[in-house]
Amino acid sequence: MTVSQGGRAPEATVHELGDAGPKAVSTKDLFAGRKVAVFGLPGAFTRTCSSKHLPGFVENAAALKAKGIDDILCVSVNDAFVMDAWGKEHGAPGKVRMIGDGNADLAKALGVDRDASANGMGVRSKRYSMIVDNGVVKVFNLEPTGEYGISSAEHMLTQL
Amino acid sequence: MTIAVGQRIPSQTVRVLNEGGTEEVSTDSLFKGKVVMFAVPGAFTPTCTNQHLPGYVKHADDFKKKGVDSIICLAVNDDRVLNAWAKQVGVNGKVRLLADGNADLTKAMGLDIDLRAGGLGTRSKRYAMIVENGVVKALQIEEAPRNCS
Repeated sequence: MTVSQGGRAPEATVHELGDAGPKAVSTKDLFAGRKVAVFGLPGAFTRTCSSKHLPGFVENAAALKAKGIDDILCVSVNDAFVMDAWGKEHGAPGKVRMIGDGNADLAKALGVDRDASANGMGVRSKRYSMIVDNGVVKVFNLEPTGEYGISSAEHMLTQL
Repeated sequence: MTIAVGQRIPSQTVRVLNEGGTEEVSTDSLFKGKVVMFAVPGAFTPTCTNQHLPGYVKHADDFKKKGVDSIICLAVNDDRVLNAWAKQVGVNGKVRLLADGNADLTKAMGLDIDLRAGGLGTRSKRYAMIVENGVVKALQIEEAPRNCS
């Protein structure tokens, strides 16, 4: 079942690249006591993500933070090494944290996982965004397959 | 069971990166002639990026002189990630990248490894093999994914 607005964000372990390699971090810790903007997408280095989704959040990071967002997380079913490399290519450091959901645990817990094996991508995530306030999902925007609009940073700015 | 010397590479359709994009080819045609294939646990991971792939790119001409028709690098990553990695490393067509994104070929050869603890899901062990007309002639598997010897 897909997560619903007003419900608690599920707990899952994800990974962020640190100096000593991928560091396991719980979503419980990522969301505790703060307001977090999350956006999820089908894959690092893929077309829509590369040309629009991530750059949109990097570009609007300051505007989102000015509206009360403490942290911005980009999540994909890729490993932390790939996420870090992709983030650096788009100037994410210091603006958007690149979170690897390589085991698809968060995508499955949110109910946004999808089978992309026909494209040689295994299990991936649908495209979405959400605002999580102290662990509670305040806003959840799930894109219909192949579309890009309501999960954008620009749209999230209108929801804050 | 892990594939062994003397056995054939399983028949499958796989995704290989070409200059023009991704091409779906059968392993039967991919492994014609003498082929060196090595696998890495992941694109953009430190050991692979710093040693394994660049080592093969650097020595590609030496392999050709020794009768190797093509060099293939397999990883359980999708083709977009491998394409970005190949550009960063500077592969320049010297090594063909095989995107085994569903780990189908890796599992069929019994060379998969569970790297969930590091958030990498199912990947490939690090290995190198020499394949002649589809038959494995030599196979060396690294004990630990971080090793590269």
